[in-house]
Amino acid sequence: MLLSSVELVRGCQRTLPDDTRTFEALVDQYKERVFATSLRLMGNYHDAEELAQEVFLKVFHGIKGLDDPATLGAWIYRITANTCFDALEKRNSRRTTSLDADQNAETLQAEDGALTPEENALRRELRRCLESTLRRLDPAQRVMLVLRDVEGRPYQEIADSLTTGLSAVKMRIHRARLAFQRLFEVVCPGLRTSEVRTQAPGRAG
Amino acid sequence: MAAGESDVEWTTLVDEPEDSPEHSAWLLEHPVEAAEIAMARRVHVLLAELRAIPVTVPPDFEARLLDRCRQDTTIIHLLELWLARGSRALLELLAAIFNSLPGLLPVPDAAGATRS
Repeated sequence: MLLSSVELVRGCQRTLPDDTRTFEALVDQYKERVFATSLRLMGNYHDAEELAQEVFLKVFHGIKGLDDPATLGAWIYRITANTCFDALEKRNSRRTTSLDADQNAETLQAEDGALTPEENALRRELRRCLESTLRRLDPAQRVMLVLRDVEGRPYQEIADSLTTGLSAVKMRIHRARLAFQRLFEVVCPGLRTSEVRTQAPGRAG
Repeated sequence: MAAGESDVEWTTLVDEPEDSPEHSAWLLEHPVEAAEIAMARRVHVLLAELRAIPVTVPPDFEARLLDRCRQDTTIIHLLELWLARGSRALLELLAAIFNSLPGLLPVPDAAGATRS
């Protein structure tokens, strides 16, 4: 049974740290979205799990100070975005190995039975190129594009998560898209994207 | 001109393209911006492809998380205990030092005697 934000927050505030049952229900309700965002931003399962755990540890220690239970979701996604952003910044500053070393082949293997083998191969190549290009982007631009274009989050939610103004977020996302396109042409020159049947953009769950 | 500074919302043109005469006219009048919007639109559509990649949370994610929460709680308790004992010991030490040097402390009786 799903608990409301108020039940989760008030329950955790009342019972933590001794009784973790309500906190476990909270983790169960939010883990998929937090982990998915972490994976898309970090690019590999190991870092994604480490980051997602860090996010929930911050929730565990910080939830007693959350005044408005209705903001639980936004608060958790803000922690997720900021934790991943900080990790990406750190990783960028110490990176010496090839970016492609992070390539998570597992995520690229999913095949669509409705497509021909050639289309599936093209789709895998496209996904590899997209992820590779995302990894080369500036961390701030990467966060913007993952939240908006990969996850389909509303602009206002992204602005709230990053504690930035709405118009600033729109402008940054636009610039990030242009930067992505320029980089994509360098990383994957000549990729026949027009031949790949892509997903229709829309609001992600 | 940057996104969001014009009379037409660029992000709307990128995310929700529609065949409205107003938008079409604006795009025709602004070919440079129209090319930029088309580029952004292409990225928006391409990146949605990554949404289809299945994401599975590792099976023992919650168990590991709860272990870390318990470890953190234990460490915090130990730290609080250590700080409480440490600060008490420090206070006792300071008291002992000041008690052994009575001449350094103002004596209320002596101060009163001086005033009178």
